[in-house]
Amino acid sequence: MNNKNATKRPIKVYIFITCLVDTFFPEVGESMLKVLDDLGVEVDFIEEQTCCGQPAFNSGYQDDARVVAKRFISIFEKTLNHDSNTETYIICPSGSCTSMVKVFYEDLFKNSPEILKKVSRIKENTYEFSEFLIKVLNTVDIGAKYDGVITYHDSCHLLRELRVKDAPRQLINSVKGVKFKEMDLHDACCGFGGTFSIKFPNVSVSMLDEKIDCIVNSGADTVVSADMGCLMNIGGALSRRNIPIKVIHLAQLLASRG
Amino acid sequence: MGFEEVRFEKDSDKAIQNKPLQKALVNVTDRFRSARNKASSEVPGWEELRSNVREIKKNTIENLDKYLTLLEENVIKSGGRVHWAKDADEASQIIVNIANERNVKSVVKSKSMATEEIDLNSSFESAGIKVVETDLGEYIIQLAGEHPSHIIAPAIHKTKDDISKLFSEKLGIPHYENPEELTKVAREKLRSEFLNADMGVSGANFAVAETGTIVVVENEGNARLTTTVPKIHVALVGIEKLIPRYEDLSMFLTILARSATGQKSSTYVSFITGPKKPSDIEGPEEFHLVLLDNGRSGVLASEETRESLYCIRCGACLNNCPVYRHVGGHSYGSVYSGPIGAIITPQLMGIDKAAELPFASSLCGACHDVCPVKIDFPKVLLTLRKRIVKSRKLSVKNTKDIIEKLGIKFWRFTVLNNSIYKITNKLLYYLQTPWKESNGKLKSLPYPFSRWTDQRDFPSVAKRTFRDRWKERRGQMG
Amino acid sequence: MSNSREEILHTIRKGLKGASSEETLEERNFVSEAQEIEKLINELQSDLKTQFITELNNVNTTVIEAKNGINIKDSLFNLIKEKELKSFSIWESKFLKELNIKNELKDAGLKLITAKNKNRIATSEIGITEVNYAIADTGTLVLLTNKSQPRSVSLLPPIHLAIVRPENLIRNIRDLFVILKSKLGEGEDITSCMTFITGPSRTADIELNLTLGVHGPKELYVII
Repeated sequence: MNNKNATKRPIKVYIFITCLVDTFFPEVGESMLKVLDDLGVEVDFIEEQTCCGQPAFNSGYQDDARVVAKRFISIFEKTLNHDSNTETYIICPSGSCTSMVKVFYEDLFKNSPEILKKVSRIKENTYEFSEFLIKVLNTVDIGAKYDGVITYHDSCHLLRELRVKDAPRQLINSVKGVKFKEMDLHDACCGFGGTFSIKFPNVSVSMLDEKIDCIVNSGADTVVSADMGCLMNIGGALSRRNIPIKVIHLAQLLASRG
Repeated sequence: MGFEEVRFEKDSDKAIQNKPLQKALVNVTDRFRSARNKASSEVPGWEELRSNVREIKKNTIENLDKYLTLLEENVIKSGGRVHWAKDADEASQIIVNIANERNVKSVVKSKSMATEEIDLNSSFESAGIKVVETDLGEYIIQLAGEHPSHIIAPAIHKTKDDISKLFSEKLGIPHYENPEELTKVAREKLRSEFLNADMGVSGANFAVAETGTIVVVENEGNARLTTTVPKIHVALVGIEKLIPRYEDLSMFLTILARSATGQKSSTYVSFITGPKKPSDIEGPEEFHLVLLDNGRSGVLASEETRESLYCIRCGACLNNCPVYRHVGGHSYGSVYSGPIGAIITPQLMGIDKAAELPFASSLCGACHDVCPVKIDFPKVLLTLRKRIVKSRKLSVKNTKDIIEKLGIKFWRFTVLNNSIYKITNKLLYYLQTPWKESNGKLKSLPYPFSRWTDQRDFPSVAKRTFRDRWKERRGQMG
Repeated sequence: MSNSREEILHTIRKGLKGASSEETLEERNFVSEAQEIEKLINELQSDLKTQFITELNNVNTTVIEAKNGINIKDSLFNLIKEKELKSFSIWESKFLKELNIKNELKDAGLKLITAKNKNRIATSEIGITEVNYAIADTGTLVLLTNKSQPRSVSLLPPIHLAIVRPENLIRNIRDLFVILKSKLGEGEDITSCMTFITGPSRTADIELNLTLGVHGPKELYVII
């Protein structure tokens, strides 16, 4: 299924597991592993890794974010010094954390040319999971099976910072048994926004209410996204309101075999 | 109104409870958003156009001193007068003085954010000069004693019934039901105001340096009346409204109306160069241009946030902002609302006075995507957040800020060391037990997390984190 | 006052230190660009007309096509009869003078109201103008103020009727500014007021309901 890569150099993937996934949703990381395993890609996880620094960066604590980001850079920089026979990538199951590295690190280190050099090398090899499957592996069908009606929530950073819109939809549509229903306002923010969700909870929930309405009205029984931040927010409201709609990460969908 | 007190959280809570307002906001943002999307998709090379107008604005702002003096020179050449106002008080004073010196008794105004910013109406009123807003939306707002809630649709928070009651109460007319009748009443009332006014005050969408022309864009015709009928015309223009060349207008006008309302062209665009010529039969005998700084020149000093001055006030960022859509304009506590308000108000009035605003965004970036001059809102917001955090003075009164700072420092401490991070996760796993429900969700955490769990479930820390599972896998794989 | 001027300019210069990219207004040959545009437009005239009419229809404007001067006057008289108009204001531009509309309307018993007395045009029932340019791709009328073309004729009366000749048509707003710049370059004086008109006066300030004629004319007629 990934025969396009047959003639290419072997691929090695270092996964970048976000703190949310590590701590609250480890099954999402495992699903990503399963998909990559099934595709025959070599996967490694550097255990020193913790967080990319986004929570502090978004809250205005740039000095703290910089220290944490530096650590991230020094850890992942090593992955790129691999022997030249393999193509090395850093893959992350989150559009938000990926855009922290690919978009906002440049801003954070704009006064440190040395670090910027490292950032640009890391950036080039870092991909959000769905984009990696489509763009690098040229893989659409990974043999997943899922019986259900699915709607997809565009996470803001994946869509508007990384410009990834079609890849997740292509992947969803390739899953056997899936009926895809686009929701209204699929590209509208769910109201998460990191600390925004607790700084202005009522605004956040008002935005979330509209998102939930759109999800319910789509007629889907499962909502999929590529960011656990959004899904934690959406899932938190669905379960509080006892709405029986399943909330899963794209990786979980692609790892399911019926 | 100018800049009022910013109480975003309090005011937004009120707005969210206001059902008619919520309905109106959905209507206005849906309508303008889809109209803009359609209009922009019909222009070939739209993205290139955005880049071009941004480039022009960038060049203008980076040469602002030169272009301002060129503008001044050309306004004077065309027979107008130029006044410089460093702040709101001085601008109001200049305009009121012009009126007093000429024995002006009544003033008509067309819609202008700048005059709202300096609260010109109260200055006129305290000088005993009658001032009438003539844009229908602004007229409604003035009668109601309220403030505009949207850059281009100022009265959008009021329903037809509100307006019907308001007109009947203030104008002594029967209750009219339909907008057509209400509009007709306003036309008649305002027409006589126009014909009797001694002075007209307008804003401007653009000021062209090389010709000394100001450009006013509108749909109603009230700005045309304001700048044509009274014998004195005063235009209050923010110094950032400049563009260098006459022909630059073709790009700016192409992008402005489409971004604002989705129209290919607004109904009326007036290009005014000086007062009437001696040979013209009619038109104002005097033209005064008042250049307003009011904090703008200070914004220039930061390269990081300078682009906030590129704004052409189309309102597209409001119409695409999910936060604005739910809280409306008044929550921002300033004449500028939505994403542009969140970045410009703190910079003009001081970050200490509007410290909530840069945080009142989920950083979703929808504004950046539609902004005709491509202002990178998320980046500017993040920079302002940084400045605010740095300038915070922590005291017992700001427990919120102290808790936040402690939280960040604790987070930093844990994530900088893999072992501490792992131990913390284990600790959290056990600590969460009292709040954990049978389905694994946390439903009522203590402050500040209660601000999440009051309305949403929170997931619980996994017993075996991803890294635990990875270790097992490695063990199994040998 | 001059103090504030210096203060503002000083703050700007201080703020821009190091940023100020030198820029001068570059010289562009608008005269030759304008000549080229005029040539192009001549070839496109009938396409432009079709496009212009479509756009006018999109903005609540009534379009009347006329083959010649007699046709124009017939349409005008029909309108006046239909609306039972008793007074009018009109530009004294060359083409309108040639058509002799002013005298014929007066002969028909309509009262002529001129701009000489302040605000009197407000009492006129129809304002008749021609246009200096007509922008095809947006349906926009471009009117230039001068001594025989006062601004309020297209503004104060409840009905505005504008006459567009095929040679007034241009493709877009880009064309317009090239032409205007070429004229300025040739020493023509800039008008005190240029007005774009795209459809009748409108507002949507009450619950987004579109209402026409809030301040300017409620009805716009264009005779091509």
